Amino acid sequence: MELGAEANENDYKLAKVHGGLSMRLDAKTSEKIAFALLSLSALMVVGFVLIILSYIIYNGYSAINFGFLTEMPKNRMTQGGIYPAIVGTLILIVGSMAVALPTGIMAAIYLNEYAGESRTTWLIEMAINNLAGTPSVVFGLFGLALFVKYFGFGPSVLSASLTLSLLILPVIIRASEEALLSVPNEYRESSLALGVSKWQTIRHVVLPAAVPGIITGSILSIGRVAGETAPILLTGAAYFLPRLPDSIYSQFMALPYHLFVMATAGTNIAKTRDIQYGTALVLLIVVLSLNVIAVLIRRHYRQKLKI
Amino acid sequence: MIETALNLAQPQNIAKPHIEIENLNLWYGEKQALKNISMQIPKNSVTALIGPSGCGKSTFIRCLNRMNDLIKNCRIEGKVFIEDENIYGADVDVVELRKEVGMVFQKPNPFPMSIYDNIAYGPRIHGVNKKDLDSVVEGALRSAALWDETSDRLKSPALSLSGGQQQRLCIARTLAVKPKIILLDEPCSALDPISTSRIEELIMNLKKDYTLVIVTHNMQQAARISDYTGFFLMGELIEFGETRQIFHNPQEKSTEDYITGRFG
Amino acid sequence: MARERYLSQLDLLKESVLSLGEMVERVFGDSMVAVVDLDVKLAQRTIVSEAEINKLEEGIEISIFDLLALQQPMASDLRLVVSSLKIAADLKRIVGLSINISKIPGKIEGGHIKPLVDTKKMSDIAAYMLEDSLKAFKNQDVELARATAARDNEVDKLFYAVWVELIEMMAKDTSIISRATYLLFLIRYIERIADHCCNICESVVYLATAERTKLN
Repeated sequence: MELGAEANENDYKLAKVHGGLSMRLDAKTSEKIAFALLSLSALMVVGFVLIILSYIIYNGYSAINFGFLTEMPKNRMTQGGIYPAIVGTLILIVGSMAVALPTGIMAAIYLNEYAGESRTTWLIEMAINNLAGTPSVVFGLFGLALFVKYFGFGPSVLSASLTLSLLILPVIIRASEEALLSVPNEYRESSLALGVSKWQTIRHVVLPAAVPGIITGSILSIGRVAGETAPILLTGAAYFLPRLPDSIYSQFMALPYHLFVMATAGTNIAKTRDIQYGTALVLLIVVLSLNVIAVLIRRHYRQKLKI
Repeated sequence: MIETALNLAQPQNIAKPHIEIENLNLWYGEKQALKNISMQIPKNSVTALIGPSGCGKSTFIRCLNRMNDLIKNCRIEGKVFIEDENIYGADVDVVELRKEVGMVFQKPNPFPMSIYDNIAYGPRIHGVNKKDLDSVVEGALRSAALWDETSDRLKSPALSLSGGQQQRLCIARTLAVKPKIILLDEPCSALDPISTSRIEELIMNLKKDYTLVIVTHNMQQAARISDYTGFFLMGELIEFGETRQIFHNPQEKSTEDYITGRFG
Repeated sequence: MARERYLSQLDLLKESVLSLGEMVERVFGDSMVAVVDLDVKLAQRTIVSEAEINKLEEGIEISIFDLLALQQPMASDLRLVVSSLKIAADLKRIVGLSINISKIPGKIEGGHIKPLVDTKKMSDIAAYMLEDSLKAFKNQDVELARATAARDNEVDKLFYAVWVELIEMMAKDTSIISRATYLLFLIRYIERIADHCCNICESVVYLATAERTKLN
């Protein structure tokens, strides 16, 4: 059909066949292609996870036995267990969460419920974002400078816990902020309309409703704390200690560091390969079990809050 | 009987106002949302506020319990007297004010707790003894016509109730705090007609003991349940008077146009 | 129960219309007694009672406007309200006509020109029609309404019979013309009252069945 000429019946029919038919093909096939690509990506991710898991399980399960989990290392790490490393990691998790959780939640409450849109607030948010993006080895260096040297705590459980708590603080603050934001404003309004003060409202309505989201943040943090090597490297992790840490000022062993040293600079790398995989497997299991516990707790709270 | 037929037709007596609003103006930033509103709301009556969307009636009602304080950039001038005290005065305790002036919102929003805990929430925080809580909760549920339906499942979650029941729960929750005035911001707009009808009955029964102010976009509802009606348009109070008079013979043309649906 | 106040207002409206009806029956009855017995005092009392009846009628009208403006009655409720308005209007006219009847005794000097036999018959039928139409309204009895309205034929027949008789009497004796005209007015008023009772019956049929009919 020429420009300017009147369209006639045949022109429309043609356009319908070409445009209509080809458009139909396009829509249908592009749908199929998109679905295929997306499913493929999802499968790849799951696939990788399964591969990693099975690789570690395959290589490490032979090392796992009751003794492995409960005995001290013997004979220059070639025999015995990794009990102190397990204990050390657990202590770090508890210690860092004990500091970061309350601080993070309170910071989130301040930012979300009390702070206005001011320069200060903007600066605080910026600081949190920067903290979140800081490489973990830098945290380690900072911890070394501040806690180990300046405060004089020395390489210790205390220094490492504090350093790790700084690491997970932004995660907890972010997750708590999201959780608080997701609490519908109607709850706050209704509470205030009943003659309840702002803080009482937060304590009795907002915070309880935000618990599931806060737990999510904690789950993410547990994984990080258990697995970070660089921060604890510089603040108190040791490869071999004759006994468990007896105070917060003592040094400690930890699973990731233990694994790292065994695999790179240990006394007998080749011979301890199965122990290394065993350690990795234990680390995975520790993190996974803690996650499962947290998910169960979250589910309980979610059920309480909804129907 | 004949006398009562005649009484039906006579206007009600005007009582000493429970709430008196004097030259109330409100700005959101630069935009003026309420222009010089003055009004007297009588005690133990139902006053309805009607008008098209955005006319300021919800903004106005939120001034009566200072909920507008929560909004940033909101500036208020003028006086609101509740029982002769200006609630915008210098040493007014807003938290105490909101115990006296309760509010029920458009969307039923019970807390994610049990029915009992929802009602007991306010009284608990205000220091009511544990042993008195049970009777306070029962009293509030009875006043809200919800006791019969919930007395056997007080510990079940409030969110398991139907929409109409949830709204009556919110009313009971407000009543538990023993206010003198109850503000209702379009309380029935999210409900079906049967629930709406039950809540309208409830509102009319409550006026023996409380003063109620209700914002509604449903004119027929205002006509059915209120004693006094105020018509708002673009931030101004165009007309205020006995409901009978407003719906029989409004004085202002814009009121008549709105009521007869000639509004654009 | 939902809308209790509204429902009791509807009941009250119906009761008030029936009360008005009762008062109108009494006034009509008294006015007929006054005119037949030429009892001027009774006539005077009847005339005075008009004010009170009008007050009740006004109250009913105001309640009806209230119900329409404020309560949005639907379906049979709406028909009840609208019928009540029409019936109240018809009752008011009947009162007016009865008052007119009551004014006649004062105007007749020297007794009646003839015994009011057929006239009395007419007014009796009209009185029954009034009573029955109100009963039909009370019970929403369509059969009774139709039967009552049918009796208007009898009233019309008697009306023409008396009219012809009076005309003949006036032609024979011109001295009675003045009193005869009042009797002509009287039968006219009674005939109009019967018509208004038919209107009431039509309203009753509409109320019960939503059907508009012309019953005479």
